[in-house]
Amino acid sequence: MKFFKILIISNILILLLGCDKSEENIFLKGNIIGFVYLVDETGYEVENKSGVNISIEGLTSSAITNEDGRFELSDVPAGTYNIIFNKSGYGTYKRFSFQFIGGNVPAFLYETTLYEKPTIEVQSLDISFTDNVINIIGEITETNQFTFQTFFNDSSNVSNVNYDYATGKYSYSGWAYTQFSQSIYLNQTPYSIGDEVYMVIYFINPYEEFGYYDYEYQTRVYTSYKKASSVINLNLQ
Amino acid sequence: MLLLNVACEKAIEYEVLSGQLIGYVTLFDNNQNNLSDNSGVEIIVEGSNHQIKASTDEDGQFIVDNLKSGIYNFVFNKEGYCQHKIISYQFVGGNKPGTIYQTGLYSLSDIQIDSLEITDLERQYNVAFMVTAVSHQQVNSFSYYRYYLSNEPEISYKNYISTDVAYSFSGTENISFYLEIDTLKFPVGSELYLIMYPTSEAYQFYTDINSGKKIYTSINIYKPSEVANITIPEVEAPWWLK
Repeated sequence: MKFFKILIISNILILLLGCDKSEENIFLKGNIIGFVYLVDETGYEVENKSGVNISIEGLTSSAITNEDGRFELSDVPAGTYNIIFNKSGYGTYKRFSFQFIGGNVPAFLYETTLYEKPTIEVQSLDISFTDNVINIIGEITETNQFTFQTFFNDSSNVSNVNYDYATGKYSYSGWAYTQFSQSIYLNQTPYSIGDEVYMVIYFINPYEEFGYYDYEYQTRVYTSYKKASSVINLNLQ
Repeated sequence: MLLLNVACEKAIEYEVLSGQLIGYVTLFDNNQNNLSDNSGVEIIVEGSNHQIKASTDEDGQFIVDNLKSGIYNFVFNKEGYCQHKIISYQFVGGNKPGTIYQTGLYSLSDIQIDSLEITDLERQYNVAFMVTAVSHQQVNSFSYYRYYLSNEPEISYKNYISTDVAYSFSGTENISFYLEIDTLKFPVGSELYLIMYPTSEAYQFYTDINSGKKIYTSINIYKPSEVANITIPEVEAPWWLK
């Protein structure tokens, strides 16, 4: 009898342990390894790629790159994730819907590149509306090349991800610019005379070509977007 | 109790998907022609709790049955051929097989690089050298070489700063090429080291997840050249920057 009791207890123990294990096995875990590259304002690859923060939306696990740009996220459970790369001065890259299965060898995230935000500043801005054209003339700190983009919205919370109308990227490349200008024809925009609109200008690193597609805001985002102006209220009269 | 135990174990199997994985390997000879017999490639699957091996049949097909959901590396080996690796393959499992399409495995290049020389070039505004590799053997077809640059003497296909390919046309014993240097990576006054390997093909690689370096897998790692070196000379600035 005693023998049977022991057998039963040990069986229960095995059963419990076994079932615990099965619960662990439902979600495989694993590591994600990748490399981040940094490109500065003048288009050169930065040698020291440390200090980029990598996090997963909805999880607490995060990692920081070393000098080589390498990072490792540990013990990530299987799932589909949005992975966020961020470094101050370089902006944010979001990688949407990365499917991760988990397992004994790490998953590898191919290279991600962050572009330095332009250091130029707008010093003065003159915006006028005449003959159905919005004219922007600005003075900036001296630069040999720069890229900018203008966004419009009928509400004051206009931004690079929240707009009704955006111009294309305008690029200047040459020698010692201190001025920029842009003319926007009203018939290119969704607005008409009498509307009250809000606009904001952003600089972009001239070497950033693709950025990423933000599925949340359903728009293309450049990591190096830097607000160049405050939100400007415009009466189309 | 025993029955319950069995039930519990079954539950484990049910929770983790498993399935079949099918892959294809194509063998290439030294002239980049694919062979009709692709058998005899050993595939080692890394990332499983137990050892998994597979091998190819004549068509180059290999099959791994009952592979559990997980992340795996595949290492391809065949005597006389370059080793290739596929890293971080995420396998889900399920009713249909997962596939690894056409992996090329190239015959090890038989070219021996007998000497490697790097000489300074008369240049105006940029740093450029002439590289000459000599092979005392008749090379009978279009042949590739891959060279690596570094600022350390311990240079190899794993430890380098930049790499590219050079090629020669049939019948030439030595190969010379023009090498322009990026002085941001190799500053003036520093020492530049160069090593070269014969390669069967130019593109196939995997990424070393520790160093982030691309490991090109079609080079003959057993036949490196000697290491050549030169000091990066000072260069006259172009007139428009003076």
